[in-house]
Amino acid sequence: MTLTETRPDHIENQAPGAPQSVARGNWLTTADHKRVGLLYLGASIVFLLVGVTLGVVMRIELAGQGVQIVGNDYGRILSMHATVMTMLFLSPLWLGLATYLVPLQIGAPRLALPRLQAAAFWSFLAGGGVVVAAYIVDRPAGMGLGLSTPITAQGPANHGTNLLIAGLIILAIATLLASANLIVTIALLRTEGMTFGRLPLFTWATLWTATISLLTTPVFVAGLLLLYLDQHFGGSFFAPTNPVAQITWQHTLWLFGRPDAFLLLLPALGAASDIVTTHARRGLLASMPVRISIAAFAVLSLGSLAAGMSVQSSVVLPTYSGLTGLVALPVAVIALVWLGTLRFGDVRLHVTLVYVACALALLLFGAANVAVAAINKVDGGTAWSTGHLHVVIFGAPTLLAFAAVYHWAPKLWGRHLNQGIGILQALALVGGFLIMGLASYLLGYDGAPWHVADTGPKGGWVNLERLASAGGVLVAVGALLFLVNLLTSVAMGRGEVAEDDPWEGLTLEWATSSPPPAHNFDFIPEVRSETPLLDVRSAPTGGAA
Amino acid sequence: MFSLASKLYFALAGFALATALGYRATTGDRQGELIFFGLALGALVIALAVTATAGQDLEPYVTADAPPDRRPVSPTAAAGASPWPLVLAASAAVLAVTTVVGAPALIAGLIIAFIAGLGWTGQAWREHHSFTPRNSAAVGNRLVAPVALPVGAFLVAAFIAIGVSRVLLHIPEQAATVTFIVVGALVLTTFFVIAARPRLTSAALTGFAAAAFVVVAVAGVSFAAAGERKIVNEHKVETPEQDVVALNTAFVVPSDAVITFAADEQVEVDFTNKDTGTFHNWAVYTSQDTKGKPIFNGRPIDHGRAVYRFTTPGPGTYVYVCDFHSSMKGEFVIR
Amino acid sequence: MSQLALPAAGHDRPRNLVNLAMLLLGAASLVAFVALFAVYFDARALAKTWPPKGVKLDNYPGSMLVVTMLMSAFTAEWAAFSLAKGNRSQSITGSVLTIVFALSSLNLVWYVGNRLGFGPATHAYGTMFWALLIAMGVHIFIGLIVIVVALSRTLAHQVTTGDPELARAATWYWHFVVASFVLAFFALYVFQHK
Repeated sequence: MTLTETRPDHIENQAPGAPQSVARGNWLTTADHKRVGLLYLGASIVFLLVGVTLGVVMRIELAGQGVQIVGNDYGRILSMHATVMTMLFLSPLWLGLATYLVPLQIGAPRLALPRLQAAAFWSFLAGGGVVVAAYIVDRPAGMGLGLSTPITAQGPANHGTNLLIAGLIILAIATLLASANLIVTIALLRTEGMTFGRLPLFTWATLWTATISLLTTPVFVAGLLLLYLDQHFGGSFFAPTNPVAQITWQHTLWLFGRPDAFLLLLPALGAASDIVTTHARRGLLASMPVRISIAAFAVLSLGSLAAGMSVQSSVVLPTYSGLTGLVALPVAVIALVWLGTLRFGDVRLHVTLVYVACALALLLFGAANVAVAAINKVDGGTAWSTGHLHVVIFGAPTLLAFAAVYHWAPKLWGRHLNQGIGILQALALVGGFLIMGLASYLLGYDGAPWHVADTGPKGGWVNLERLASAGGVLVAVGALLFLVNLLTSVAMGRGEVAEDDPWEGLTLEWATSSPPPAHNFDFIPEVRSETPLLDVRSAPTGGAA
Repeated sequence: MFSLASKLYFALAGFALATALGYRATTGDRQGELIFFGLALGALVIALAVTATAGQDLEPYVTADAPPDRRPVSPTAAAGASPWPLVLAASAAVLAVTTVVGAPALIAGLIIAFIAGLGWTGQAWREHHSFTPRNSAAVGNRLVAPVALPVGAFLVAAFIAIGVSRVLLHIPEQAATVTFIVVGALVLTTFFVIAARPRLTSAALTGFAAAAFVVVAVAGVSFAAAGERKIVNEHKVETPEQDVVALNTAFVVPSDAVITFAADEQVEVDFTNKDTGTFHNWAVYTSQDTKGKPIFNGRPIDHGRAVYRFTTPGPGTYVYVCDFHSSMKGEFVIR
Repeated sequence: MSQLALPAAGHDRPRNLVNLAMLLLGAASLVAFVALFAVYFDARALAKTWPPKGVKLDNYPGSMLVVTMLMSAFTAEWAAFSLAKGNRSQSITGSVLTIVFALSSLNLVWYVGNRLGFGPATHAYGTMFWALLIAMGVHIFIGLIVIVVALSRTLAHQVTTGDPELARAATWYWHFVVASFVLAFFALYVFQHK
């Protein structure tokens, strides 16, 4: 027999003592989750610039009566703006933060499958590049993913459509790989004592974001496959004549008919919880309700799939609004616990708390408008939805995402971001979103259409559009302030050098140097509660972390 | 038995299942119901998988007053670098371009993906703690050499053959014969010289090989770009021939614009269907009424090319249509 | 206190990382297939005739395909099980058989596609049929790669009875591929007519 177990197994046990160096590689070859996370952040900020530019172009167009600059390309710019902002900016920003922070928060030296995460990032970049290229080379016909109805879907497809579908499939697969990797890491690489109930809240929220992503992204891929076959080979599956087309579009392809829109806010809830506890210098007042609420938010986000109905113009359907309205409940619970934690904590005023307050204001503003819209039976196919998207679905999570960057910047780069610019940025963003949201909501109550380059000659509408445009420009100013802050504080090194634990943090990521070494920790503190560093500090011997 | 995450995962599966049932009952949407069933199934698998692998969520026992311990971590626990994820993502980008440029990008993408996979697996294999240089040598001798040598030789031969043949196909026939003899003699002489003088330095050999590679590649690519000469087959009795292309559900006839054939003659129609996936054919009818009996109807194809041979009827004006798409039609004349 | 979740030495991983990743990705594949079935059955229910006139499916290759896939599920399980039980040569035999079955399944998928007589654009049925066929082919191909990688590591004595995780993970993924195909077979062949 040649095929026997001739290799002695003791080799496996002999190596541990032998020192081995691990090649860290450069930025192109790295599999270090911290570097991959920073790459994600960098890429998402580049895409943010693209998306903001497009948004400003649209707002300038809408500020004047008639069509002045965009010509026939308004739909193309709108679709690109929506795709870039949700799928190429905010989602990967959260994914990057999760990639960076999750192993640190659970006390692991790396991700479960580090190279898989690198592959996911580079695939994301490739897919994102292809998506942007698709919009540049041609007008992707029939591909308004931001629209609840397939606008046209008659093949054969042009190069733009073909590239867009291919790029989106790559993006989806990259998301699947990264999500699976994060779940495996959280489930299996937690350090000793780090039970699921003690996971830092951002990690807990990431677990649920990744899970919902893993479950719903395949539905998107299935829809994209059908769309590709239909468009590329010149079929008529998504043509209005096919009775299934409309509903399939809403279930599988419509950007906001999938739970992904909710997944922009879900990690934000976790991140903000960590921010609140850190700056209140105590654990959450009631941790289990927050954990259950975050999971419930994730579970209920599946309800947005119930949007699909064969009703052409109606976006807000009874099943949709009923099931998605339920998510307000867990958000309210979480917000109340935050307030309680701040009330009973020893609060350190920090710019991130301003962001959290602004985000809550936006959510409240959105909720109030939902109530008004429900009473007045406002059509979802109006400018009302523009306002709602920018206030609730995009505005609030974006503010919390920036809060997270400000909070963890010392760990990410070893330097603080400038707090003064941070406050200015928060005010610009929240002011911009509020003004734009208010104007769009008012336009919606008056029945003005959305997704058009010109709202028409009706008196007063153009003034409201101008107001919304002013808000949009203010948001762009906020984004630019962030870039300025990042450039001066981090790239040019003007920011205050951060200590390892500048906030007297509660969770494990603050127990290592800033930025951490390649293997994350030289020593991992034992975890006995949700706030292990608090335990270390209050221990009788006063152990140093 | 169940950790907090496991319990909530089962709750997720339950919610999806309940929504599936309730959703169909309230809206009658069959598709949404089945998608929710799918989500329930997926969530159940995740719940079972996490329960089975992450196991119980036990807290280690510590006495209340024991100071918190610290556990050292080895620097070797960090993740090692690898270039292959980047290469794999590059293959994805190339594959995406396939949707625009077609087969060449597909082949290139698959080759890059294959190289990435091979490199990735190879690196994982080398990094395994049981790996020794002897393993590597054994694999090299037993697996790589027996495959790599013949494949490499084949590739070199194919490269020369394809490169030179592009040249031969472009230049006139007599010149091609002469070139072929010269190139053949050159190749034979070169290898003879190399074989006869084993003391040539490897640098000289490499330089020579690189020069030869560049010459063949440049000649091959430039002559391939210039195209092949028209090869006329003189021995065959010439059959009147007409190219017809079906594209975007319409017939495209080359520049001569009007198809004309002589009466009662064997003719050929070279039919190409560029609407891959859609069936087309080319059929001939007597009048505008295309429902009657066809004079000729070609075998339908849903991609590629077919040559239809038929004998033309008497003089007159005839109609050709695609039997699948009545809008695809045209007239032609038989004299 | 000495039971560490992560040993200090870098190369000794905690168990089941690859297993769990494969199960998660397998679940994702399953959801993608069910989404396609959802569209398929909705289109089927709303169509007047299903399959459309002129479509004549040859049941023979479909049945051959499902039989091949089911056999491959057994050989894949055999490979993982025998490795865990310490029988390396049987495991290698099982893996090789699985690869043979996987290749013949790919060949059959190709054959079915060539003989269909309609394209993805011919009608809604065609779009659905091709979508399921392509999804199937892609999944068999990915599963095949995973099994080949696991087998190569088994041959190199890196996946062993002491550390059989990769072989088990490959088998898990293969089971998802087979399960998806059996569902597709029921949709496309068994419940073919309305």
